[in-house]
Amino acid sequence: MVDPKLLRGSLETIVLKLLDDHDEMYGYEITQKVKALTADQIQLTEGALYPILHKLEGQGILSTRIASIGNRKRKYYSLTDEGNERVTEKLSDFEVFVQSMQLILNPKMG
Amino acid sequence: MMEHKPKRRYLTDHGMELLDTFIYNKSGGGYDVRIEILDHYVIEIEQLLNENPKMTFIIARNEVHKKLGETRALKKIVKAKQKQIRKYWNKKVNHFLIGYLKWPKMVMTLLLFFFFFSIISVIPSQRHTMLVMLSLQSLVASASYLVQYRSIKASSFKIADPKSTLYSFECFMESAGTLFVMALAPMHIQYLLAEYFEGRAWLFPIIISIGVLSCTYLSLKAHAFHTEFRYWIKDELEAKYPDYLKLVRF
Repeated sequence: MVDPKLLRGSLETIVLKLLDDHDEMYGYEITQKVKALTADQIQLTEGALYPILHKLEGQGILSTRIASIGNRKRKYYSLTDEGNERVTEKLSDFEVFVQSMQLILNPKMG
Repeated sequence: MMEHKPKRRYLTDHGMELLDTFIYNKSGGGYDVRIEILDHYVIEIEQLLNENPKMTFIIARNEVHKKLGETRALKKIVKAKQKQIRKYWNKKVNHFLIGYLKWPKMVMTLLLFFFFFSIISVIPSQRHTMLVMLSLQSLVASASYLVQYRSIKASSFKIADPKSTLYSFECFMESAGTLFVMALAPMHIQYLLAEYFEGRAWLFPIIISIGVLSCTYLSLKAHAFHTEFRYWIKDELEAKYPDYLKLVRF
């Protein structure tokens, strides 16, 4: 499993990318999707995920919708227009970061 | 022979209520935070109960609570939400206060201040200064009472509309009283630092203007926090963060 310290700076990118690929998702769905895509290597905890979602909502990058599911409510998150612009920016920054790390870890590739 | 599939177990309304109370007791979170956490817990608990048919609800709940990080994780989520609400509140307050930082208002504040300063400067004795100060303060306080509190007594008090002329007049009366009292301070500064200001008389109005505008801005901020402002954005805050009063106090 990936060290949580390594994961911390990438959480926002992960959340934005998933919401970019799906119309809307709820919290539990995001944690399960990350777990499935990474074959259990990355496990998002509640304590890590929800603060990120609330922060992005506060910044106007995500919008929310509350739906009734049986005998309870569920909060769905989706990207706003500003969020869509932010995703492109974030993914581009992350790709540059990954390439830079590759150059450090495998200098011969440079 | 047909295979008997066990029925899928779901939490009842009562189970949901018990779980909601549990989450509230552990986190103290408002409605907005609780519905998310509750949904997450319910899915995990139902999954656990279906994988372990003999498990009880309480054991499943405690297992899930442990798995999801216990009270520490819940409090972390609530703390993050509180931070967002405070950020939003501060943004709105600053936006409101920036409305003060317009040339006409700032110039009027300074003119009013220097008017009071001039009055105090020409009064010959300290005793007379005190008398004039007390008289003007009483006038301001009486006018403020007549405008505001008579309407409270008549039970017709309405939260002031920030754009109304009446509210502007009330603020003017309050700030006039404050500015009058503040006019005394520069006199003392001028007296104590007379040697410093010799040959640098041009510095005096600049320093005093910065001081007056800063004090007025800070007093407006305090006013915003303690009076009508929280009512002006109450509906907006409630729409964005339902049950926010359970999470923060302003």
